[in-house]
Amino acid sequence: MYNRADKSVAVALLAAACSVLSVALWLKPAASGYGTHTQLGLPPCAFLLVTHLPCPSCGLTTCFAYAVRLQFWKAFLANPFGLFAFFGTVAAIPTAIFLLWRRISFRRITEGPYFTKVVYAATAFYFASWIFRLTLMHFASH
Amino acid sequence: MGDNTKWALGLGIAALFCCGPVTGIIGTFLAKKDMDEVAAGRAPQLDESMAKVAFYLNIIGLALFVVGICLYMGLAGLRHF
Repeated sequence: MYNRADKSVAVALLAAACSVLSVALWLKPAASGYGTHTQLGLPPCAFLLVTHLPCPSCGLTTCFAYAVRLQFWKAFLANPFGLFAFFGTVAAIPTAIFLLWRRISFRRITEGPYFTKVVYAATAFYFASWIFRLTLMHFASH
Repeated sequence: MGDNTKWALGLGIAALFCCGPVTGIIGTFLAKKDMDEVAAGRAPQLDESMAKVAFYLNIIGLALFVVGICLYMGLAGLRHF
């Protein structure tokens, strides 16, 4: 049964996706490949400060800032997982509109047979892209 | 313990130490999925208490991330004055 909560979730999804893409367009991607989020007044990555190595999330904002400018290769180098997340964010806009239009609950997607598998795959890709970037850094420094 | 709970526990620990919101959100989702399965009686073999531990661990990871940002921005604002 479609209710107000389902409608709110779809509206929130639409608003969140549009906001993220708008902010990404407004930000200037950092040439270093990470740290773009500090333009928003947010703190630099504590993991990076302590270990001098990027954390798995480092470069996500930079990736979005490049991807929204259609510079996909630079976006991929900043954070490969970020590119996947970017396309997910873009896809969320028509999905949310479709859910609102057809009055379908977002739970039908999250409770679907494949959604959890996609979440597992995305998590594995998140850490794989971190290893990929650490490897790139290792070879770049030698 | 279900696979979702195991992953959620790992992701919760990662959220506490380095990965912040990404693993925290995914971990919360996976733990909640197991909690819902138990509550609906579809998976009585799952350990609800561990699913709850994983859920709250991820919530704590997310909360600490938000508190850290608020503290940083608050201190930066104070320094500005």
